[in-house]
Amino acid sequence: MKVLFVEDEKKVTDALQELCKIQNIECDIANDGQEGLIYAQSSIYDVIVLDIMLPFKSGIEILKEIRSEGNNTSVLLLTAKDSLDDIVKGLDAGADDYLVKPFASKELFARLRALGRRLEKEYVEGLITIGNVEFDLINYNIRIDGEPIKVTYKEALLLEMLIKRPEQVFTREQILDRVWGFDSEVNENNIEIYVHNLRKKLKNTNLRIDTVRSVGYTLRVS
Amino acid sequence: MFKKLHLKLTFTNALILICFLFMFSYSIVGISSMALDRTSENSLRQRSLQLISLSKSLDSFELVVIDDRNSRVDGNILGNVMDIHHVIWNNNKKLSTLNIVDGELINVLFDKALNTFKNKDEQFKIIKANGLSYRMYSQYYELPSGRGGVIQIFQSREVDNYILNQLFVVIMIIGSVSIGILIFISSYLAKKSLEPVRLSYERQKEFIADASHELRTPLTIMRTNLDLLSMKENETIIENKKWFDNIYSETETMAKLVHNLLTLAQVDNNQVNTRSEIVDLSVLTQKTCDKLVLMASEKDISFKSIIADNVMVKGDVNRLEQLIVILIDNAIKYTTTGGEILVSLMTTPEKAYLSVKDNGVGISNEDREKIFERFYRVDKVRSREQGGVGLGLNIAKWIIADHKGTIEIKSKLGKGSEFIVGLNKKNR
Repeated sequence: MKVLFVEDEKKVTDALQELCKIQNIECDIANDGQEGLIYAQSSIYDVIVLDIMLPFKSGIEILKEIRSEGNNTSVLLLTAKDSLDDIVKGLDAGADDYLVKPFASKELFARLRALGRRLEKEYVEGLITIGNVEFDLINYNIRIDGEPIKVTYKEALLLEMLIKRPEQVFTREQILDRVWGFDSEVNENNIEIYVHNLRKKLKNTNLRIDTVRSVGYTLRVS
Repeated sequence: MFKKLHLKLTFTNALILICFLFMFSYSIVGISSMALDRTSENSLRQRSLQLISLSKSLDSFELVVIDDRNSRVDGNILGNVMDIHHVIWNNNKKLSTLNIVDGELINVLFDKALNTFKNKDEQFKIIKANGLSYRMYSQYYELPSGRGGVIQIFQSREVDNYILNQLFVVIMIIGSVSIGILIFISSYLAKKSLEPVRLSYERQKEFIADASHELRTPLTIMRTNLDLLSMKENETIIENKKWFDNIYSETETMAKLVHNLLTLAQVDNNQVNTRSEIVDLSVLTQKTCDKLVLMASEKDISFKSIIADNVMVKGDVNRLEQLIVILIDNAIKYTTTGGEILVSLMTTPEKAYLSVKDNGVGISNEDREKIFERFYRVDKVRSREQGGVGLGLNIAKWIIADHKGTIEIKSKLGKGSEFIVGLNKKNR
């Protein structure tokens, strides 16, 4: 599981980072709102943890912005604001969960796992089935109408991220980061080649990879 | 909450005004009615005396009175409601004189006349006949021949009733319009009078929310760091020094925050007892500088002081020390390593001026207005890192006001700031 923590209190993020390490959770830390938004837009996370009162951009602003871009990653608001109005405002802005500070780390991580499981719940034993397409998440076998099709490892990685979150718009940076790694020298043109290949392979299915102009790609189920 | 209170207040005011209007209207109508009664009774009595005098002079109950006010009326109704009418009953209780022909009215009058015959007195009565109301004066009198009779003078009350009804309606209309205007004014005034209460309530709510938020932050740090330590039970304290240090520094922050919050709570409730004594500000400033010079040297900040001798002010020595600490502490927090701080105490014949000048980060014009607000921090992250809780300058402002002093800020963003406190000198 990969989690992004956007929190301006360094002593809290230091401890959270260490706790993630102990629990084998991959995490990124952003210490202000602007940095948090950049992280959220350029990488794929299973859960994003947002503080509300942040320098430069509030957690609610980040949340609204990523939701407007079609990013439906689970978001947990972790904040000292505990009034009913604040909670309602946060959840209405698109948050999936809300935890008030000070919190017990055990509870925070239990909630993160629960949010992470929401996606996995839909897969039975690591198998995603949409229409006539079956995606085996364990050994990356893809079948159409029960017949295996040949895909490269990178194509499988690309399809995995799209098929796990249909309708979510992924930016080119996010795809590059997930499929090739953030330090790879591959450029955005490569993505187009891989998308083109996948489109051809998914031609006789009810899955469609759409280009979202000047943003990235999304998988739609017809 | 305040909307409901405003409505409640307006409604109560309106209710009081409506009650007042009814009381006023009924009082006016009542007073008018009494005045009309008195006038009418006087007229009836006068008329009665005239007729009795005539009757006595003629020694007869049979009178022929020709008077435009007493024109004889034929029929069952009175010709003119304004007219004063009379009947005279002789000693045989028979009608001798009358200027009306109305069977029902005469029957009613006869009943009343019997009473007057019996009591041999005079009386005013309200009588009713044919659906009309009359005011009647009945009097027993004797003729020179010794025969006794009763004279009854009466007048319709319809005009009076009509006037009183009209008066009531007019008062109610004018009153209702006035009440409408008054409700509007009352609503406006209620809103206006509630405004300071609302503002104070909002400020208090905001303060509690801010205080709660500020208390939660160190608690969160302590809790996450403690949670982490509980997972590292096999490691040594030295290995986990960072987390222990975090917890320790946050307990200090919390202690400071709680102390400041208590001071402000006391200030808000006027529970602070400030002493008033002669304070040697020169000695106090020097002493405080000596205490804080170490803090500045830890950040490699050059700390200088120029302090005039024998500067005496009247005030509370502890509060004045707190003020100097807040100003110097802030200067240290917002001055980067290698910077300079100059504390100076100067005087004029009337005033003492304490200045704390630094070449730190400075304050923008926009922030200059806000730095005295509770929990306002120009740079939240830096402030927290330096152990600031955002209350110091608010307390400083209160101390200065309590000593009837002044504060001036000179600052340029990126260049530094100077806080100048002016206090009244107390000459020995």
